[in-house]
Amino acid sequence: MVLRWFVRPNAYYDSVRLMRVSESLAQFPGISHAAVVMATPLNLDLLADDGLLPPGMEATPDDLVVTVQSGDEAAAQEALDAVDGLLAPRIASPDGDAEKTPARTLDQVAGANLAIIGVPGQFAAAEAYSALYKGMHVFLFSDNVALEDEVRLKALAAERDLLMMGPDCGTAIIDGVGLGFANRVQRGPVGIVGASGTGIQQLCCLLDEANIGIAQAIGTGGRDLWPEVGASMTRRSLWMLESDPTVEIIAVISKPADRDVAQRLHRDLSALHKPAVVCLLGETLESTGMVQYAADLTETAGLLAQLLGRDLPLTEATPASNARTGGRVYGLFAGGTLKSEAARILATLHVPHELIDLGEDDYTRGRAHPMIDPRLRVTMLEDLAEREDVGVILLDVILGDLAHPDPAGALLPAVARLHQSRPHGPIVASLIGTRADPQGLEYQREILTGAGVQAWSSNATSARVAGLMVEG
Amino acid sequence: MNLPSSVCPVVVGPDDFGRSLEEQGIPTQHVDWRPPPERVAAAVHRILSDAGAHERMTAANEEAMQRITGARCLLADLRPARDVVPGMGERMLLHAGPPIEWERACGPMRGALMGAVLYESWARSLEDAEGLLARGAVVLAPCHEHDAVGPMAGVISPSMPVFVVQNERFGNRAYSTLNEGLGKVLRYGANDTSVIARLRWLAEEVAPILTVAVRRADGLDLTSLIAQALHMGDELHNRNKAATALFTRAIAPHLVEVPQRQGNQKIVGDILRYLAETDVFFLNLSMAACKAALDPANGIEGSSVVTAMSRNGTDFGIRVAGMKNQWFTAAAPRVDGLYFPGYGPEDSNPDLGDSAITETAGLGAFALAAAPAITQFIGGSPALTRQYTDEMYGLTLSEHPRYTIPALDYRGTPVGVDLMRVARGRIAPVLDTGIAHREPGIGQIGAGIVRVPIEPFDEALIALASTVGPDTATTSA
Repeated sequence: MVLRWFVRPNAYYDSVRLMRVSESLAQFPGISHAAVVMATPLNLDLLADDGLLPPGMEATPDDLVVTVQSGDEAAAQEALDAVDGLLAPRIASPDGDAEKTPARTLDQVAGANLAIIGVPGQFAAAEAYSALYKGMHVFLFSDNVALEDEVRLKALAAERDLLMMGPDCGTAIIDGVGLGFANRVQRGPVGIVGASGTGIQQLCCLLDEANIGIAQAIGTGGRDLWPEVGASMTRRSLWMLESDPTVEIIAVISKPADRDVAQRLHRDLSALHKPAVVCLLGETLESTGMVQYAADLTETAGLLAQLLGRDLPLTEATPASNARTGGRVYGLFAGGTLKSEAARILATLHVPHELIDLGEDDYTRGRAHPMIDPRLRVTMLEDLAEREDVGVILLDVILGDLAHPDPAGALLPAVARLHQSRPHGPIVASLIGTRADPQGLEYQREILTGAGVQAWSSNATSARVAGLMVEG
Repeated sequence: MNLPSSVCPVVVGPDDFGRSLEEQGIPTQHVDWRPPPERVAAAVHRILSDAGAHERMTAANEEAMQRITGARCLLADLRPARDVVPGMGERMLLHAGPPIEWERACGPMRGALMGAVLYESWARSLEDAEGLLARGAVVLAPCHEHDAVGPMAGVISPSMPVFVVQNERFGNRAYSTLNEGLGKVLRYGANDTSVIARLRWLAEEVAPILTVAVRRADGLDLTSLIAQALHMGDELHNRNKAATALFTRAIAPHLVEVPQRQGNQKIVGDILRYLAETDVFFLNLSMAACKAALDPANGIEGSSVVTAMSRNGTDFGIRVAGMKNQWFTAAAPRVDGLYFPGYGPEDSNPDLGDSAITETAGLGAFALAAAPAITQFIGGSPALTRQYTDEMYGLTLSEHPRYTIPALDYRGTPVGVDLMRVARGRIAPVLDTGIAHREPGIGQIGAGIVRVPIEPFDEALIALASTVGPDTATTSA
């Protein structure tokens, strides 16, 4: 085996493109492993784990590292030589608009009314300001944006009557168009405001399963209910949904909120003429009038269905077998809110657990979100084969636009390895998706169940099942 | 607040956001975003995060662009530099580019300065001239700091005749010399007796008669002439064939009507022959008209519009409307171009001349799409000329209302280089340029297109940002 590599200083490429180039390179004849990554500490650690870290290599996080492993020197060189071609942007055909150079700043863009911003966090606020000055609504996917900027951006958007979704906004559905990670849902009577992307996705998918559609789902970014931000975007969104005639009932989702902010929000909600269900993931206030509180996302979907006189086709949390595994529930999540929800449920059940949110900053610096790039989770999942204290493994598998084209399939090699090392160790997953999603809900379910993974459409249910399996 | 009734998205960042929208059937625009260096990102953030500062900058830039594109430049006069150029001292030489001292001056610049010393009879030999310059006995100053511009070395000495170009809209003036033609010329650093004799002929025989003709023409409208020449395939920097022809057509009747004195008739014939043989004649007028158009924007507080780009063969430098009289510099770039037979890149001097004032004003490489035939001179293809112009729209604030490009459906040329757009788009301007031999006196050895260094634009933006308001954090823990 030879390891061939090069470092290109100060070469920026977005992590999604790098993931695709890595995957293409690994398909080259004679190549056993390939990695094309920004040289962040995390990425270098992963290279070292895979035996792909060139000895003595020096690189900073701004540098691009390309390494390939092969039994054949010539094949390795061929792969390295191909990297530039794979990294090059797609070029228009020579007989078409070849001379048209793509816009390099938002200033050059005309005719757009919504900017979707996904650049690295330290640059993202500037792009968002620029979009707001141009009169565009903003969907700011990037995280690592200063709280002070978030406050200013939201104030600026309020002055200009514009949506400021984010920073760290994963999901929205505006006018039937899914932004970021969004599932293909039916149009319908529910208006959602969510400070949580995967929370919105879970709720949308549970409602979709009950044939209840979505009017709008407005993302606010995970910190909107922090005291500094004061629910600025959530509260403005409520008034928007109140005046939207297609909205009959309203749902509000957030990770645990600041108490004062939650109370202020409650006053706003009480003033609405439409019923609302609020999920602050455990921190419930007292339900009054038309404002009800739910403990988790699944309960939220149930209450919304009830308001519409419908039933949620919920399944009892019934483990597949009565055997108890002991040990801990070990969870590797792509969705932050799904992780928090599971953690609360397991804590309530007094089940020992260790849950990791792979969407946190530490895991995403210099690489794509785990819902797009499953490789880090696969590596960590394989590592669990070595751990003795693992009782049940808990996962989330999230479908929809922007997500990996085959998230269940991507997990299979790791699942096989786990089953090999611990034949009776159960794996439980929530499967968040709709029948219209591009990955195919039933197809993904078959892959999971075929590999011996128990799949539930409710994250709360899958957490309960995992908990019961450990301790009953 | 209302939700958008139909979503028209633009994606800044990974392509995948756009791809997933396209899969939903939503047409999506895309910004090909690149990360700026950290200090530049902080400067951009500082300006954009302060709505007041951003508003002031926008207003300042609007004012700057109105002034620049509203210019109307007329040819007013032809006078010895000492009589008209502000601050022109008796023992002073003006030169192209940002300030440069003798020790750091490049070969062609040194050759031109020495030649000018001989021309002014401040020394009898080249050795004496060099000694004079080396011990600082001649004051050197950038043309730009004296309302003047000069191609290549751009040397202006007190006795040289200069065109006086008047911007009617704002009353300011700009100055440039008579173009010497091609071959052995001072602007490329040549300084033998034939060069000095040519300069004397221009000053002593051509200028007196041409001055009378210029005055009889009574304010030849250069802005209008440039607009016409753009429609005739010139970009007014490397190609001035049409503009020179238009000028000659306009001035010829006045030349022949200059009151007859002894020997005049022969000189009028010589002048017409000189105009007929000198395709590049109009360059100096184009440059002065551009300078006169841009200068009124200098001193508009908070404006990020570039008012001069220039090189002295050692440094490339820019000046910015919001920071009057400051230069921001980096090493002058090497030119990637077509070389005349027998010469190559190893013979070339780094880029030289004030002529980038044309690009600064929306002509030259910015207007390349108007001049497809120029590719015979600078290389490339007509499609490439459109590509360069298209790219320059990305870093400029306006489209010139008077200067239009037929091949682009009469779209105005890109004008008003904006520090913010350069910093955020990570694209530096391109220039058309001639390539000088690095040794003085050999002259032009090629021509091409050069991309200027981005660092001066970055440094200027950082300096401008420090004047707009308090710093704020860009990242959180």
